[in-house]
Amino acid sequence: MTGLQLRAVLEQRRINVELAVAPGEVVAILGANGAGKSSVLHMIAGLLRPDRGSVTVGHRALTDTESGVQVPVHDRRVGLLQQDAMLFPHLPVAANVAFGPRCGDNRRGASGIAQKWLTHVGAQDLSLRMPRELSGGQAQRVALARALAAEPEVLLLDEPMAGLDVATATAMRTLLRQVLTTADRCAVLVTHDLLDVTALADRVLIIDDGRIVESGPVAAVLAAPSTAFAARFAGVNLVAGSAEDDTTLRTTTGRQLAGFGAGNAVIVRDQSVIAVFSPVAVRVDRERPPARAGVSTLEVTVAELDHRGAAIRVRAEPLDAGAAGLAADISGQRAAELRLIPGERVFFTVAADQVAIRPADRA
Amino acid sequence: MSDTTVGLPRWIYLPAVVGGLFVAVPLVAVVLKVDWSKFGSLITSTSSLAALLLSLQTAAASTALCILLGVPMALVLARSRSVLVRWVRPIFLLPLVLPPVVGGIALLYAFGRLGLIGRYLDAAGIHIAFSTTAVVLAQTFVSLPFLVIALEGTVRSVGADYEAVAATLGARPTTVWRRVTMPMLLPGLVSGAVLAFARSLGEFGATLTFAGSRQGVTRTLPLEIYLQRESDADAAVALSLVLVVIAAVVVAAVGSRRLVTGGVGSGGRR
Repeated sequence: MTGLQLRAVLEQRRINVELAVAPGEVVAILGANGAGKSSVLHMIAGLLRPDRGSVTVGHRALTDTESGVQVPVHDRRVGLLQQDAMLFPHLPVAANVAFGPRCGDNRRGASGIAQKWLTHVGAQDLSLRMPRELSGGQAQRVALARALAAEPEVLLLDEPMAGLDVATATAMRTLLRQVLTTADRCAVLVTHDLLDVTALADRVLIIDDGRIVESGPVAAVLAAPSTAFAARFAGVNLVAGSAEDDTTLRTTTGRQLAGFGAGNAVIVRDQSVIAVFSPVAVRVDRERPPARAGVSTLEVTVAELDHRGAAIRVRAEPLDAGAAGLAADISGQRAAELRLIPGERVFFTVAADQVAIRPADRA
Repeated sequence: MSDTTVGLPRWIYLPAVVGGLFVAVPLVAVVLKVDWSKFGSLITSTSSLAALLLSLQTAAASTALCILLGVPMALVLARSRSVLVRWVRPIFLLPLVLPPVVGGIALLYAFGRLGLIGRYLDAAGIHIAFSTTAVVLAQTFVSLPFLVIALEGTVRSVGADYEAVAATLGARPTTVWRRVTMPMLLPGLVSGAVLAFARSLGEFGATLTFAGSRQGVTRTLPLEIYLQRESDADAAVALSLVLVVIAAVVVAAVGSRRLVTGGVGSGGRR
C-alpha cells in the first residue's frame, strides 16, 4: 500500500487517530478548534512525536514508535503550508522558492526550478521582491511555490486560505486545485471552510476530541452527516434520538419527529437513530399549528437571528442538553411578520418527507 | 491631519518638557564649554590618544567576547524550556542593575591574585587583575547583559516557526542555522553589539576597581576624563565631547537598526 498512513496516539492531547490517504488523493480534516487537527499534521511532518504509532509514506517508515524510527523533519519530504505564509523575510521571493531545491542535490538547477514553480503559481513577476512587499495572497502563492519546489510526497495544508479575503481565497483555491490534483502526491487539508472542502477534497474526516468520528467521500458526508459537527458544517439540522418506529425518531426528552427511512438499513424500535433535515424545510410559527399527519412540530426557544443571503436564519436553543440547536431559514417577509426576539418560544414545523432518518452508527 | 481623538491632559507636557531639558541641557553645557581653539591639541595629547586607543581596543575586544558568549546565552535563554534556565536567568542579567564598582569588586574576588579562580591562574603564572585583560573582562561583565537582552528579544520574536518551515523544505539543522536563524538574528545582533560596545566604552567603576588606572595599560577614556578633570578641565571637557559624539552615533545606529528589525518582522508574518 502506498500513499500516506498514520496511526497515532498522543496521550497529552488525548489524540488517537488512524487515517490513510491514497496517492493523488486530497483528504480534508474538519473539527472544532482544539480537536487535534493541527497535531495530526505536525505528527505527519515530524514536528511532533506520537507516544505510540507510525507514519508511513509510500514504502518509507517515517515514524514507528515500536522500532524507534523517527525520520528527522528535513528527510521526510513532507511539505507544510500554513495560514501564515512564513516566507523567510531576509530572502527575496526567488530565493525563498529556491530554498528547498538548494537543500537537495540539485543545487545548480535551484533557481531554474524556482522560476518554474513561480510561473506555475502565476507569481513569476514577483521573483525579485522581498516578502514584506507582498500582499497576503501573493505571499501565500509564493509559499505554495516554495513548498512544491521542495517536491514533497505529502503536502500538508493547515488552513492556507484562512487569512485571505474572499477574492484572493477563491484564486488560491483554484490554484490549489490545479497543483494538488495534477501531481502524484497526496495532500491533507485542515480547514474550517465548506468551500475548501467541496473544491479541493476527495474525502473528508471529522475529528472530535482527538478521534475520527466520521469519514467518507465529501458528497456523502455533506449530504448525510452523522455527527452534529458535520451537520453544522454542511448547514443542515441533525437530531439524535432513538427509533419510535422505522420512520419516527424520539428524542431523549420524548419529543417525536416524523421522517422517512433513508438508505436501506433496517431500523428497529429503540435503536439509536439520527434525523437530518435542511433549515429551508422548517416553517416557523408563533402559535402551535394544528396537528396534521406527516408533519412534526417542535416547540423551541429562539437563540439568535442571522442573515443568510436573502434569508433570515432562526437558530433555536438546543432541544436537549449537549445537542446543537435547530435552525430554520425563513424569508425576510416572514421574519417581518413574526418579529422574533431571542428568548421567545416559537414552533418549528417540518414535513416528514423532508426528514431523513438513519441508524446513528453509520460509519 | 490628527489621529488623536482624546488628547493628553495639558499639564502632562510640563514634566515631560522638564525631563527633556534635564537630559538635554547638560549635553549642551558640555558643548558650550569646549575650548574649540585648543580642541585638536587637547584630544591628541599623548595621554589622551593612549586612553582613546586603549578604550577603542578594549571595547572592541569585549564586544567580540560578548558576541562569542552572548549569542549562545541568548539562544538558550530564549529557547530552553528548562526550569533551571528560568531560575538562573536573573543572575545572568544581574550586572544590568548592579553598581559597576560592585561588579569590579566581585571580579577582583574571582580573578584577583587571591580570588576564587585567580589563585590558580596566579599559580600558573597568569595575572589578570590590573592588566589590559582585566579591563576587557570588566567591560564584558557589565556589557554582556545588554547584548543578551537585545538578542534574546529578537530570538523570541523570530521564533522557532521559520526553522520548522525550513526543515520541512529539506534543510538540515546546520543549514537552518546558517541560512535562516543567523540571518534573521543579524539585526538584533548588530543592535546588541552596538549597545555592548557603547557600554564597554563608557565603563568606569568596574574597570577602576578591577583594573586600576595605568596609562596605556588600563586607563581608558572615562578614567582619563576623571583624572584630567582635576588637573586640566579643558582636556576633560574635550574628551567628554568625544564620548558624547560616539554615544550619539551609537543611539542613531541602534535606532535605525531597530526600525529595520521591525520592518523585517512584520513583513514576514502576515
